[in-house]
Amino acid sequence: MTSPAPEPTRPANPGDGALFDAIAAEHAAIYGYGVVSAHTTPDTNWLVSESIAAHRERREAALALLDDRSVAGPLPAAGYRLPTTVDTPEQAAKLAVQMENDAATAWRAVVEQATSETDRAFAVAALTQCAVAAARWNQVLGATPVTVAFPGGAEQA
Amino acid sequence: MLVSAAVLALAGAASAACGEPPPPPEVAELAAQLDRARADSRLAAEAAAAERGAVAQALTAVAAERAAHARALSDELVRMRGKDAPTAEPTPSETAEAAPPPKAADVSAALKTSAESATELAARLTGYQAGLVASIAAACTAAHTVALPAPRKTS
Repeated sequence: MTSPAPEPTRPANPGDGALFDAIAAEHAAIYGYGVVSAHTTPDTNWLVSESIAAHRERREAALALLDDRSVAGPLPAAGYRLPTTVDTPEQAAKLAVQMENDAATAWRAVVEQATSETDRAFAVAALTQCAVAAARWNQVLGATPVTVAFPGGAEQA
Repeated sequence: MLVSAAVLALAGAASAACGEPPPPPEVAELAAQLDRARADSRLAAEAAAAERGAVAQALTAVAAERAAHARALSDELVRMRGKDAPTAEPTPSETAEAAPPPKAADVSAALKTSAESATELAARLTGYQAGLVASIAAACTAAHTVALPAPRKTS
């Protein structure tokens, strides 16, 4: 999903910058899950709730990590442009998969740029949670396989 | 004891004693991940051969993903060492003909152990290596929690 450049400015330090980007991805996912929620069927409500709660929890924890270093995190954008039209449960599930993949990519960057083991462990857990959520949404879609070899990564499968 | 140059090259970390500077500890740790990926891939392929339908499909996908992990880890080890990745440890007893084929639950348990091992290692590595092992940890976790258990019932 796209939005105007986030405020405040992205920190120059690579570790903080990657964390800043991951928080921006979490803001976007939290917004996007509102749209997903509006179009999913009742039998996937549990997955919507679980996913949105996980994104909120990670956003708050990541903001706290930046705050500990007196670095300001990004604010949510005033609006986001969805990558595709979302009018059906299937389109909603596809958007969820894409948002989980986007967040996974952002968290993998945090893993690579982080300078402390604590930050890295947090980012590894976040990447894993996004991969699990993407797999669950793929299961909802009936897509096979439900998993990918390198969540958040660009390696050849 | 006389050994050929080819054997020395294959001996991997053990060859460090023969005059080369010792390899960084990450080499042994990534090599252990490589062994796990190869073993999981083989186990999943064997289990897939004895299964049918959706379970066989999921196991085949796991075998392919773990094989892809092995390739990526091997590539990284080649980059680090400037030579071939160590070969897998021989495990003849595992593939003995008399043994019954592994079940999906065995593969799931192996993936869980691999996921935990990769999760722990990823936090201690840095840079690309940390990222690669983190993605492997995420893939193993998603495979054993979502792909291999029985599909969640919809009420």
